[in-house]
Amino acid sequence: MQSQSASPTNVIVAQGINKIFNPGADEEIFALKDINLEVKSGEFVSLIGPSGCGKSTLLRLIAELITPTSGDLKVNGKDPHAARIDQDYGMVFQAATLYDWRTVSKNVQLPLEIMGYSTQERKARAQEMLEMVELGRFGNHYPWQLSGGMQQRVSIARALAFSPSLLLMDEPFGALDEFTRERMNLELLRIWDTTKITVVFVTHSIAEAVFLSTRVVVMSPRPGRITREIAIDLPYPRNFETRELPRYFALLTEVRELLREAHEI
Amino acid sequence: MKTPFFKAVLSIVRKDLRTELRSRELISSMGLFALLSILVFSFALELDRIARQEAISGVLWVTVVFASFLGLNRSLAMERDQGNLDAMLIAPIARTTIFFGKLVGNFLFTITVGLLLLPIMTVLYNVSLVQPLVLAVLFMGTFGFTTVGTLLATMTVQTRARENLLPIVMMPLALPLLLAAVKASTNLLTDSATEDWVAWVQILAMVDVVYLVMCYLLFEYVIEE
Repeated sequence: MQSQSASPTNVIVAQGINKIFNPGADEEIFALKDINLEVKSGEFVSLIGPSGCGKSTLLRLIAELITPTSGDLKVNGKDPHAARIDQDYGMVFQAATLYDWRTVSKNVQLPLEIMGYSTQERKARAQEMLEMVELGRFGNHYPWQLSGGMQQRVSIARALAFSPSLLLMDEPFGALDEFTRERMNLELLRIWDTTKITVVFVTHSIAEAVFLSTRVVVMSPRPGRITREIAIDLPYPRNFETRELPRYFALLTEVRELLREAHEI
Repeated sequence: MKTPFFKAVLSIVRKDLRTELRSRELISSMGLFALLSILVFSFALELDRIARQEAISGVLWVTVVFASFLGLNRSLAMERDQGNLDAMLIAPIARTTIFFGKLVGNFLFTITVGLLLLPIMTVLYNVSLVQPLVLAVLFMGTFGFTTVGTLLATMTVQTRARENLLPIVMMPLALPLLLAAVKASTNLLTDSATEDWVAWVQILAMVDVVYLVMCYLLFEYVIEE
């Protein structure tokens, strides 16, 4: 079970973040407005909201894929640029983005290769990561020989290969069927429990957000604002039975209500 | 820890070359277009020797430029569609290494097509194009064109009409470069060659440097917005 330290440190601190695309132009888009968010070490925080509310934009700001128009954002106490250079985070996208010509093991080794690890270290670490996502036997396979769920597990292994303290996940299971998605949710919880990593997870699915998270952050439609945060007090370890608990259904209803309220703001 | 600049550039170039070696997507489409193009021109322009000498540099540059549009669009579209662009952006590298990596890759593909065209055009048009100075102009012109093309393709690839948009935004910007390249090669290939080619080559070199610096400075802004 995931254990929280006595005084967890803040991995992400966002204060007064605004993001405007094409500022001053006719087609100006106010994507995010006055975002204040703190994510503590070891938390699993899900961002949920309707399409276009800016959840992915917020994740991309944290990853320094884009820069905020105004506000202060810190990742591990550093600005996002320093955090990127220090490889403080790994990122998993909706598509697995694996190189077809590299074996599964070599795909996992890629970030380590960029960082200058020796061949032996890379191989050992990739194998360790593949064992963790239960794909230890598939190191010599190519991505096209794996199912969608397995490919996504490889991309999680790759994101964790260099031991980042933060994992950013942008709708990673959005393209999977419902059954595979539920299995992947369990896998992810197991990996989270093993690694004690902090996770920020973007999803459209209320069920997924409630099942996975320690906290769900609800966002309003554009301009995206954080309207409410709800602590998820479901017991650990979470499994298929968790989805049948009355508390689980109560939380689903609560998040759904909050989303409806956010829509009306 | 930031990956050293040249190592990161080299990694991106190697990735592009490997992808191309396996798929042959860019070279085959660019090469086929270029070959068809010069064949059509050779059938259409039944010219005497002097007229051929004057027209051939135009044919060469029209072919190289339109072939490079195909390559530039595909090269950046693949990065975006396969999620590679985001993967490179979160890597611990300076963002400008992505620009230089893509630039070198795009340049190598376009210059390969250009170099293949020279002997074929020499046979088809009976004008010797395989000359050191013509090669130098081809290298300089292609370099400048792929420099500005890499930056603009990074922008247009984010739009829905990317295939159509790239030539529209690129042509006005690339005009000084094309003018210098066409004038320099025409002057080198005609019998009445004057020393004018030196001035055009100097202009070409200057435009190359200006575009390289401008694109280098603008790339980070373009990729983030």
